[in-house]
Amino acid sequence: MHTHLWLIPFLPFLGFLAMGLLGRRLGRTGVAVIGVGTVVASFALSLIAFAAMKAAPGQRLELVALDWMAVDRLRVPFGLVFDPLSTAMALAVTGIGALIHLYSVGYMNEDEGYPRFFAYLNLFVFFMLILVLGSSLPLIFVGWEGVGLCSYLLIGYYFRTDFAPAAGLKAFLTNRIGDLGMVVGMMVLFAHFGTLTVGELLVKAGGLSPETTFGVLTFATLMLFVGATGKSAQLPLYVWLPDAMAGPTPVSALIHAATMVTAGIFLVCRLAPLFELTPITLTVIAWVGAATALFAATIGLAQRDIKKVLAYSTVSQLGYMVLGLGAGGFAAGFFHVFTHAWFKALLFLGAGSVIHALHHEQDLFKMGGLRAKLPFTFWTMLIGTLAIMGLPPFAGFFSKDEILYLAFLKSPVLWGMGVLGACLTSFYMWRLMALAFWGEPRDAHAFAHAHESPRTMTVPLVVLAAGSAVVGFWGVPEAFGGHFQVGRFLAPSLTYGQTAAEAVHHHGPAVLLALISTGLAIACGWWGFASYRGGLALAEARAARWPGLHRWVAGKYFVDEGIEKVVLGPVRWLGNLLWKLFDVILIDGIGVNLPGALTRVSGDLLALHQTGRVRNYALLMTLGALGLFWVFLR
Amino acid sequence: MRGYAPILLLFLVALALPVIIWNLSRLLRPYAPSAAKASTYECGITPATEARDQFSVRYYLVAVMFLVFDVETVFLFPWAVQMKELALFGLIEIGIFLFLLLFGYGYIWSKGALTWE
Amino acid sequence: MSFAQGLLEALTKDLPLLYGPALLAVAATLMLWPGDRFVGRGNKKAWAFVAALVLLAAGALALTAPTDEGFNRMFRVDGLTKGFQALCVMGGLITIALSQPQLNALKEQTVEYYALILFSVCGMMLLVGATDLVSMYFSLELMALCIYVLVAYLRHQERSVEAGLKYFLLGAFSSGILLYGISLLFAAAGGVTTNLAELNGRLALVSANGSLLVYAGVLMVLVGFAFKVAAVPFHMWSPDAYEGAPTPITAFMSMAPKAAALGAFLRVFGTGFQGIASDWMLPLAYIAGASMVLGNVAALRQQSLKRLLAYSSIAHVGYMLLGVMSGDAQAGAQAIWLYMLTYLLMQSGAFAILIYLQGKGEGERIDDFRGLGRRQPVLAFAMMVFLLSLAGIPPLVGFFSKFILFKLAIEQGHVALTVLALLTSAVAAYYYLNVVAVMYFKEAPETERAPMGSLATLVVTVSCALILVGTFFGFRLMDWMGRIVLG
Repeated sequence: MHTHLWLIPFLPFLGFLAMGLLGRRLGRTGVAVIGVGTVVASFALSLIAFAAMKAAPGQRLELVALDWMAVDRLRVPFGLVFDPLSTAMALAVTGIGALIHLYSVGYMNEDEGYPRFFAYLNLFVFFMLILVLGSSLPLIFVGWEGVGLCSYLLIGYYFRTDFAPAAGLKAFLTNRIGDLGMVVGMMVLFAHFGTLTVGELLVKAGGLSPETTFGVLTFATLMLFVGATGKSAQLPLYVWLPDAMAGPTPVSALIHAATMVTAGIFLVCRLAPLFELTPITLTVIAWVGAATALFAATIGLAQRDIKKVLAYSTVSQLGYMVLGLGAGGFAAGFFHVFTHAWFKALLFLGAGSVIHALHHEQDLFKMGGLRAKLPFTFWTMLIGTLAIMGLPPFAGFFSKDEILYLAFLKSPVLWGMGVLGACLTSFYMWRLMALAFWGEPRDAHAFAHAHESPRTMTVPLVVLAAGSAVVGFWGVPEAFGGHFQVGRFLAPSLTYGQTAAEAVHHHGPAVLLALISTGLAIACGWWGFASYRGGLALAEARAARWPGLHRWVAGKYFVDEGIEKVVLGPVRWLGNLLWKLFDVILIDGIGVNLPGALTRVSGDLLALHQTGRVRNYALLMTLGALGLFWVFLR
Repeated sequence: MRGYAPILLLFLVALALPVIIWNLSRLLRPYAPSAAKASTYECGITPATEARDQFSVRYYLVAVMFLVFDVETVFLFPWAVQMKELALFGLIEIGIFLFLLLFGYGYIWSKGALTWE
Repeated sequence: MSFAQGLLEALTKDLPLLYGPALLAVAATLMLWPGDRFVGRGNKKAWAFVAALVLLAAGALALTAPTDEGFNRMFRVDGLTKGFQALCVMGGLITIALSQPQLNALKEQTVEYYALILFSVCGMMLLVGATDLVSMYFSLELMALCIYVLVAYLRHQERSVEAGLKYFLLGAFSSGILLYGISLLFAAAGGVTTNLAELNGRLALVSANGSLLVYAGVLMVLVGFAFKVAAVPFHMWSPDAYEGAPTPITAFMSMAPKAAALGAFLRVFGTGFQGIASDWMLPLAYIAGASMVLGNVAALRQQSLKRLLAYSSIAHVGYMLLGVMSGDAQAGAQAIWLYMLTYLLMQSGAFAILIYLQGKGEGERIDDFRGLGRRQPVLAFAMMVFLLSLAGIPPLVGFFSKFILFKLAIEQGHVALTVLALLTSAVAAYYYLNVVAVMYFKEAPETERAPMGSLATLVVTVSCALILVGTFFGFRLMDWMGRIVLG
């Protein structure tokens, strides 16, 4: 069984090659069959691996293909690792990936770039699997950058529009800042431990006494977390994710909700024993996560674009996962990754179905009353909404509750922030549902032409809805009579045999806390539903009462504008200045235009000017040399 | 740094001297300009054109070639002085040198750089 | 008797060290005269093949030369010499291949062009093996003088002549500084030797009491070298010279002389002046840092790809200087060699495509790349590979060479400088990606498709293939080569 496991990542890659090279020659059917087929096949293989892992937990399998980098002390194998964490993640990636591929067959039906789209999508799945299964940090980094590249390509997919390529570039550059952190973290780890293979790293880290390595490890883990904030859209590097919605909706569902954005959380889980050794980093992580969860949820309250609401919701949910990690619940964080993948993919695909039905109308204020027209979409999205607001027994309840409980143990303030965020989540989700499916249709023309989506789109919705309803039972917390199975399953990966798994024992307040948070969420959900069921009147009145607040929230706190002003402005100014100084003035101005005009008038002047310029150069060189001399003597 | 103070002094004196002399002479001399005085001095002959004139590029070519073969003499001279001591070794060395030069000579000749037209 | 013996000894022992460069000098001389007399006006392009063959032969001779020191310890063949000689020869070969379309189109095929390339490569090969400041200076001048002429080769184009003149004047200025520095060091060491190893020993003794003479001398030598590799603030000539020169020569200048000068840099500073490292380390750090910052920031707003590549090459030199600063000369040499090798591949590919577009009558502006992804997908893909690799984006091979260099710098304790390098390479990603974005995301103007020419296609294919192969497997191979060549 082991020998064919390497096919899991490489099948999508083969699909990418076939579609990328043959392109249109395959025909639409051919592309659809290859695109969906390869991912389904690797899903099947992942399922086998997962079953094997379930049967024998604690098993760890490394497939080393070849020695990849070998430079004196540095030895990096090109290898894949199969353990509970990576197989579970691979299962989610290929499973949800397969559904979204299927959905795209219908959604992208009218698009002329069909083969290009599926080629990118398959390439993405390949890189994501490399990221998940890579056995060493450099290989993980290859996947990390690869998914970034695919994300860039897919966000800019509609390259004829103005904003899509710009959004792609923004995503790429923001991620580069995070990558910088990751590279620095990697280098520090290598300098300290002399290895970059995850397995060896964790073994060596476990063998050290905490005091000796405390500073180095804290720095390294903080740097790695900076990388994670970039990819997983945490404060302050979240700015790219909402813009990333410029891409096609299946892309938003697959990359920017279900899989790629969770790479940061996955990285922290992968190196969990390292993070366990650095309490300072964990505290930072917890507060960043809680702040992100709350901050993004408030922005979600006032967005009009249905995908923007879901985008900010994703940022907020990622905040919960990070909060879970920071509270020491690596399994809980990962469990939320798992459940969130189901219901957020569902919500995005549902939103896509609505958009598709209304001929690419994304403005919530122009929808309304679609309940009867789009029954499948409505019922499945309803399940997704119930899951995300954390209503038992849907998936979101168990994972979110576990995170909130751990946050309470760390600090009640974190818990409070989390619960407030959950209330806001519930409010904006019901606002979305009410605006889209209840009330009077606000755009009669679009409403009249609305139609339910084709089978290839509704089937994935139904499957995802079923998943959203039941996957939560994999990790029923102990407080509710479960055994938090997911934690037990992942324990060998998360502790790496260093320390015995510390089971979290729920006591007294657990049930009470869950009751409080769920009750508040339901109340807020009802409030949101009631406010918008009858149309926009109530909401407009409320916006009119607090115009300043509404402006701030609807304007996303003007973070983009602030960055533009504070960071990009000066950089651009500097670049412009240098450009002006060197090119426009010195070279274009004095060097090209002036002589061009003067040549005809006077050769003498030109000659005079030429020597002048070289003299300037020579003078600058001399000044440079003197400057260095000064450095010497100082 | 102390050892360099005299050199600095020398610099200053050298800078100051022309300034002083020029200003002194300006103060002392009578002022009576004329066209003849302002013209370029060319051994007493009235200048026919501007002093700054363009030359045919061939002059430069000749000058460069002169320079190259003149430098050759710079190498030949010390060898000639020390010929006895350097003996056969020196003779072969200088022979190789001249032999190499021959190729350069051949090249400029074949390029037609030696003909004036 | 003694003379004959000495001559025999010199011929048998010393001369084999120089077979490669000597072949180049002899062949180039014979090509000029009398060879050219036998080739008709219309057949000058035959010289391209002759020159390429000579270069190949010289490269083979250089690689098989015995490892030894000779000519009164003025020249030395070791791994460093061979490794960088190979790079210079590669640079020369690529240049000859890339020159064909342009020279044919302009009807500027002459024997001088190839002879000058051969002479300059000869200078480079001598330069990387020079172990004496005097022999080093002479080889440097041989290399540089030929390149001055090559820059001004298109003498009917004002830009070309202007660039050549500027480069020559500033080059002469920097040579003067270098020579003065050498004479100061000669004096400081007691006026008995210019041999690097001996000089190092003597200077280390003198420098212990902080001699101003040593300071000034080392600094001036440093300035001279910084000029040759175009490091800030001695880079001013390079954008002008790069832009004015015929594009194949621009490619040449960004590859071969840079490799040779870095090899000499390593020889002089990395191993030679190790004893007085404290004297030059800090200024070199400033030079490297300034190069990274200025090169990358100035490249941001360039609209001409040639200028962009010129400024970015300043930045790349900044990175490579990190390797010179490494206390471990061997590791530093390996890292620089590898970086230079990958840089050579990427640069040659990018220039091949640039020359092709120029040949089609499109300029060198970045805007001319609009829609290339649609018009010529294969070419655009290759260009993307080169640019992404130049930007150091993993998993392309450019990332590994950067990674190894930076890792070395971190290990040697240059943390601040490495962080600066990482930051500026993030800036670099922006302008390289911008070109990629223009290729793929901007609408294409309708233009005709012209054939690319087999030699340029070969260059693009080979470099692209090597980069891609290097990405997956060849990295180990290259590292192994690095070991063999430099070890």
